[in-house]
Amino acid sequence: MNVPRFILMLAATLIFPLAALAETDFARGNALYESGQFADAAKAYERSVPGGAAGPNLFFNLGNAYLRAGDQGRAVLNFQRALALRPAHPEAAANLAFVRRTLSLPTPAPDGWSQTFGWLGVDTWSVVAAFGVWALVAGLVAVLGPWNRVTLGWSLIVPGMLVFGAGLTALTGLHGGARDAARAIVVSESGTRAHYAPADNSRDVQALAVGTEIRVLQDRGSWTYAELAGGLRGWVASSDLERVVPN
Amino acid sequence: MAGAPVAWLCALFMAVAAQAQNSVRATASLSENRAAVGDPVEYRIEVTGARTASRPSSIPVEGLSITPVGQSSTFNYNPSTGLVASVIYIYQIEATRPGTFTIPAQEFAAGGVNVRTNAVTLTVVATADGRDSQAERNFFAELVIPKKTPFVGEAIPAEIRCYFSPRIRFDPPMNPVIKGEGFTVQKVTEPQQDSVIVDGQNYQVVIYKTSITPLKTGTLSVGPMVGETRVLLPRPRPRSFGNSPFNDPFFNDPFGGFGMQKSVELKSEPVVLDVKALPPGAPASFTGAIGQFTLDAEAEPRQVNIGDPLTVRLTLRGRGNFDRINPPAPLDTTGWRAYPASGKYRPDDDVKLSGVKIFEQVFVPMEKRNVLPAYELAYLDPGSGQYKTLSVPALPITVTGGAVAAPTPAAPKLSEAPAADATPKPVATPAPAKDILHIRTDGPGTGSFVPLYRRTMFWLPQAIVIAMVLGALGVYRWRHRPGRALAERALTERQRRDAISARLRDRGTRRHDFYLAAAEMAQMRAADRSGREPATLDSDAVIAICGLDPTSAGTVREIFRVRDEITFAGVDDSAQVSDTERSAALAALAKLERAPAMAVKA
Repeated sequence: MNVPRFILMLAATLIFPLAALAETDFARGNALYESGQFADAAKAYERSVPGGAAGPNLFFNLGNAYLRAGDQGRAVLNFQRALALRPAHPEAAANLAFVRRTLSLPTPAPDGWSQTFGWLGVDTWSVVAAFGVWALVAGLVAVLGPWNRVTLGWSLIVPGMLVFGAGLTALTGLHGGARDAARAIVVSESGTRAHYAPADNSRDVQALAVGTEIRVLQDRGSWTYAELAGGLRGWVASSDLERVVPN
Repeated sequence: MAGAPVAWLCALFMAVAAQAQNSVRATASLSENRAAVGDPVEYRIEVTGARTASRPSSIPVEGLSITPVGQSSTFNYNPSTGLVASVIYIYQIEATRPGTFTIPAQEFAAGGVNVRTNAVTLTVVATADGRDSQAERNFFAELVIPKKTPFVGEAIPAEIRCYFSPRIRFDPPMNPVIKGEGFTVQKVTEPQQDSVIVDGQNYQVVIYKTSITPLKTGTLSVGPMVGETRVLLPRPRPRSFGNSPFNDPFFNDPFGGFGMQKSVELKSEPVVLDVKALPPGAPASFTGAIGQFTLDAEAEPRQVNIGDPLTVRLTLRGRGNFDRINPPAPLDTTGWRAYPASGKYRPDDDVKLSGVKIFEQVFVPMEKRNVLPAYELAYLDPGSGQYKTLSVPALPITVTGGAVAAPTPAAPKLSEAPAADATPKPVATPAPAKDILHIRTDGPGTGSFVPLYRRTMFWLPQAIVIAMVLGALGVYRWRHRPGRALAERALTERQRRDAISARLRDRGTRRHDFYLAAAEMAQMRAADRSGREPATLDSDAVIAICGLDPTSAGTVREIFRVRDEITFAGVDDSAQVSDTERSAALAALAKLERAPAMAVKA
C-alpha cells in the first residue's frame, strides 16, 4: 500500500463518520421540528454543526427552530449565518425580514464602504483582485519576455494595477462583508444595554433589543467594546452577544 | 338699678329675634310656566330674611331633570323693616316629555327656622308654540349610505353626519360607532366640518366617512350610529326675572362662555340594506374581489441562473374591497418553486376604497424556462353584476445554468404560511406571509465562513503558477542580460587562443597544424591591436600593425608562407616541426603580443 492511498483511507476513516453523524443529526432535527419539538430540534441541529455539516440550510433550519422555541435572538443569529454562507438564500432572507418586522428591528443601514463596493460580494472582489494580479503578471511577461510587446504589456500592467487596487480597497473596506468576524448579534432577552464604561453601574449609551446587530471592536474579559447603531460606541456584556461567524 | 339696662337689652334681642322669625320666608317661581320638550326653564327659590339656607340639593320630579346651577345673595333696605337679606337658589329644568308637572313645595331650614316654598306647575308641550319640532332641534345625526342594494362582500361608502345648531357650541363627537351586526365597518376618517341648511334651518355639520362591507345576504339593518359629545347650550331667559342684570342676552350666549354645558348622545336612525348574493358561475380565479380593477405584472430580474430567486410583482389598481382580495394564484408552476405571496395595500382615499395593492411572489427556477407562470384574477363588477377576469400573460425570462438537484420543499404546516383557500389550485399560493417559511429538508448545504481572499487554497495555486511564470521570466532575462554575448565571445576567444597556444607548444603537433595555428595566432594578436577582422590580415599587415623588428618580421612572413604553401600546394602534412622552427615562431609570436601600441596606428 503506497503512502498517498494510506493517507486517503485514513482521512476517509476519520471524516466520513463525522459527516454521517452530522447528516443524521440534521435529519433528526428535521423530524423533531416537524413534530413540534422545536427546542429538541435546535439541540439536534446544534450537534450537527461541529460535525462538518454546517451549511446554510442547517443554520436556516436552526434559526427556525430557535424562533419556534421562542429564542428570537438566536433565530436572527442563525438566519444571519445562513445568509453569510449563501447571500442568495431566499428563505433565510424572508424569515429574517419576518423576525425583524416582528421585533420592530430596523434593517441595518449599509455604511459608506458597503454602498460603494457592496454591489459585488467579497468573494467576487477577491476574484477581481486576483484578476488584476494576473493582468499585471501578463503585462510583465509581455514587456520582459521574448516577445517584447511593450505596448501590449503596459496596456495590461496599468489596468491590472488599477483592478488590483480596486479589489484590495474593496476587500479592506468591506471587512469580509457578511462574513465579517466582528459582526455580533444580541441574543439576550433580558434587557441588554451598552454602557459608557465596562461596568454595570456605568451610564447607558443605548438599550439594545434582542436581535440587534453590532460590530465588535475589542474584547476585554467579560465585556465587549462595540460599534452600535448610529455610529455610537459602548461596552456590552459579552455573554449577551454571539458572533455571526462562529469561533 | 344696675340690672335694668341688661333687662332692656334682653327684651330688645328677643323682639328682634321674633321679628326675624316672622320675616324669614321662601318662595319658588319659574321663568316660564309653559315650555317645549328640550327647552330649558329656570326654577328659583328665593329666601328672604336669611343670608344662607340649606336648600335642597335635588328635587326629584318624574319627567323633569332639575339641576342646581347657582345662587346669589342680596340686601334690601326697607324703611319699615330695615335692612333685609335674601338669597336666591337657581335650578335648571329640562323636560324629557310633554305633560303638566308640579314641582312640590320644598321645605328646608333657613335663618334658624324651617321654611316652606310654594308649589309651582310647569306645562310642557311637544312642540313649541305649534312650530315644527324638527326645525327646533339643536343637534341630531344621520347615517347616509347611498347604495341600498350591495352585493355581499362589496365595500360601499357610508357617511356619518352630525348636525349642530349654530346657536350652540359643540365638540365633534368622539369615535362615532355604527351599531349592528352582519357587516364590517372601516375606521372612520377624521371629521370634516361644513355648513348646510336642513329644512330651512342652518346647521353646522360634522362628517365622518367610512365604508361598510355586508357579510350576509338579505335585509340588513345598519346602525343606528351612536356618538357622544359635549355641547354648550344657551341658558333660558326668564320672563319674570327681567329686572336682573344677568338677564342680558350676553349671559345666555354659549359663545360668551355663559351657556349650559351638557353631555349628549347623538343617535341616528338605522339604514336598511337589501344585500344581494353573489351571482352564480364564479370563475376559478375569483378570490372575492368586488369592484373595478386593473392588473399589471413585472418581474425582476429577468435573467437568472437556475436556483436563483426572482420576484414577480403584481399591481392591482382600482376601487373595491381591497381588504378581502387574496393574492392571485399562478396558473402553471411546472419547473418553478413558488413561495407564498405577500400583499401590501396603499389606499388613495381616506376610506380605503380605492388604491393600489401590490402582491409580491418569489419564484426559484428549477430548470431552464423561458417564461414565467401566467396569472388570472377574476372579480365581480357590481355595476353590471357580472364576473370579469384580468389576465397577466406569461412574462418572458431567461434562465441559464445547468440543472441542479431540485430541493424538495416541505409542504408548509398549517401554522406556517397558511394557504389562502382550501380549493385546489394550480399551486398552493398562501395568503400574504404572516409566518416564517418552512425548514429546508434537502440537506444542510455547504459553505465556509472564511472569505475567499482569506483562503489559502485560493491564493496558493495562483501564487505557485505566478512564481513559476516570474521565475521563467527571470531566467530568460538573466540569460539575455546586456554584455553577456561579449563576455561569452571573449571566453570563447580565450579558450580558442589557449587551444592554439597549447597546439603550438605541443611538440607532437604536425607541421601543417603548427603553421595554421601560428598564422591564426599572429592574426588574432594583430587584430587585438587593430580592431580589424583577423582573417583579413596578411603577414605584412600583421608586421605593420605590430611594428616587428626585421628578424621577427621575417619569421612572421615565413609562418604565413609555409601556411599558404601547406594549404594551397598540398605539401606533406605529416612532417614534424623542427625545434628551431618552433622556437623562432614562438619568439615571433611573443613579440607580437608585446608589440607597442603605436604600431597599431602605423
